Amino acid sequence: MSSSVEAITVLSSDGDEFKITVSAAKLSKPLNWMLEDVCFSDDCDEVPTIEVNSKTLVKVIEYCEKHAPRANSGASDSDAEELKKWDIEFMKMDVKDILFHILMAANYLHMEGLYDLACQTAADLMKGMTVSQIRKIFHIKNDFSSEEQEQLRRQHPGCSFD
Amino acid sequence: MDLYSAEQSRSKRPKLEDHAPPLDFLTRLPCELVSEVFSKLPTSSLINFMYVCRSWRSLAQDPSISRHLSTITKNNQCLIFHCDSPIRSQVCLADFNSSPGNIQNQKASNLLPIFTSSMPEFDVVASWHGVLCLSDCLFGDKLYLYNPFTNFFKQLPQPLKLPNQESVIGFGFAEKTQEFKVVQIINVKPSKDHREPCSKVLILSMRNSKWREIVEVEYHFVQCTQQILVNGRLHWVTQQRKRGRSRWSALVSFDLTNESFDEVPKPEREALKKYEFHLLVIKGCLSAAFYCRRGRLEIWVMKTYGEKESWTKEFSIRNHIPKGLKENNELDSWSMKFLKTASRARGVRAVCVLDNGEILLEYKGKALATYDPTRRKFKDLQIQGIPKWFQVVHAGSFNWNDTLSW
Repeated sequence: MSSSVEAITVLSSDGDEFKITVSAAKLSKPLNWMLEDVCFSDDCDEVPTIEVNSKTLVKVIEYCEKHAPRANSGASDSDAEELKKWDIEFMKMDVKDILFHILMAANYLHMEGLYDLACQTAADLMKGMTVSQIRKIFHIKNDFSSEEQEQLRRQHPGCSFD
Repeated sequence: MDLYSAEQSRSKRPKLEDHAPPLDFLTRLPCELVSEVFSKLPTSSLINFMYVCRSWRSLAQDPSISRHLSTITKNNQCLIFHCDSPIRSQVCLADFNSSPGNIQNQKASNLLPIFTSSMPEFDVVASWHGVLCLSDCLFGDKLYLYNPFTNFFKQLPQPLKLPNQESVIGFGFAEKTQEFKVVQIINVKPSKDHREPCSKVLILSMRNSKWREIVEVEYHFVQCTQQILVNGRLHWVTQQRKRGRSRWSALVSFDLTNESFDEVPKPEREALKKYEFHLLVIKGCLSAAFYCRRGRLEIWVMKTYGEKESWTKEFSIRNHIPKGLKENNELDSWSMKFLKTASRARGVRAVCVLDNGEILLEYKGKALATYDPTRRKFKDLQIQGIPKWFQVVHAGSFNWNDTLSW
């Protein structure tokens, strides 16, 4: 890999081009392997495709660029604190629209930090919620019959249904 | 160019689909991702999870998910309480995260086993990662396996019943053969031929679901509050006997795989010999809590299993009266009638050591406290909704895999 290259271009599954800096791309193991194996230069005509749609890829790249400096150099506690706050803001997204894709992309790109963050976000959405609140958040229809529902209530009197 | 050309032999990963995201994304996620999300939830949310819709319910019961989950749920811990009086028919569950202050003000949720109509009162024999073995405490003729997380239960073949004979039930999971086993030890009353204590032992393995008699041993066992499974072996303290001028009880183990008994050495210390003790597990090691003078509790840990010299004194806990005991003192004498074991009668039981190093203590089946051994401080715990008299029957991680060799 030539050291002069600072950013590479990748294609999303929708066919849009995106720039990502080398240091940010290193957060993803498969991208990192690719960087080590393939020589990138400006006249390189091959553009790698990442099987992630444009909308998600924008978010993933945003995350990578934010986290890259810390991952590469190690950061002070105050930085870590600030980054945590940023993560929380970053994860304020629509469940059905994008969280699902972020989770899948983090898994596919082997990005531990983002993967953990996305799983935690999904779990936090359910924490302390009653059954009907969970249904609302995740847009789920209650498909139990009323008899079944009654039986479930009897089985678990401590479970908060409403 | 494929992103994965640089990487040859990795496991197959699901490709992202291009069409619009499904409304219910959890059911569309691969198993490992779902269980990762699950593992970050407290136990009570996991229970709610099962009642959201049919597909989530089957997701929660999917064996591949629960298998994966059981390897990563270490941080997802809970306490299970069994109501101790007046009616022993209640099981409660409280989320429990050992980070300081987190147990405080927790709310316990009440669970009602479905089979309570056929077994109105029961004892909790033991818990294996939250799978409970329950025995009928009125007639002694019924046994159930019960998973409070999924409400799945199974009635086991009836144990042997001999008139006027006390029996002790043991329950555990044999890792080698991957099956649950239940042991019944019947204390045979001393007679002319049988001067020495003697017990008849029967075993039930889930595979062939039949009781079979295996051996007779020269001990009488006491049903522990919590039976201890270490190293694939169940452990009991035997009934105290007079030996010479002192009273003496042995520590006996039962290997669930080989189905054989063995005596485990106790700490060498002369001074401990006269004290009663109960067992617990600390960091995977067999441990014993001795009731010493002035209400002091000494906890010894056997660092290397089976080695007498490895017994080490880890903690010494002074007497403490938690808030819950100070109130309603007049009821204590009444409640004492219902206390089952010697350890309970002594008042305090060391349940386990929490992740933060504090020791969870149960006082007379009425109050809970934690003890911080470095700062030597007690903290009283209040959990809303637990029965007035209770017994902690499970502390720690849980398993909700129902398909596991039942």
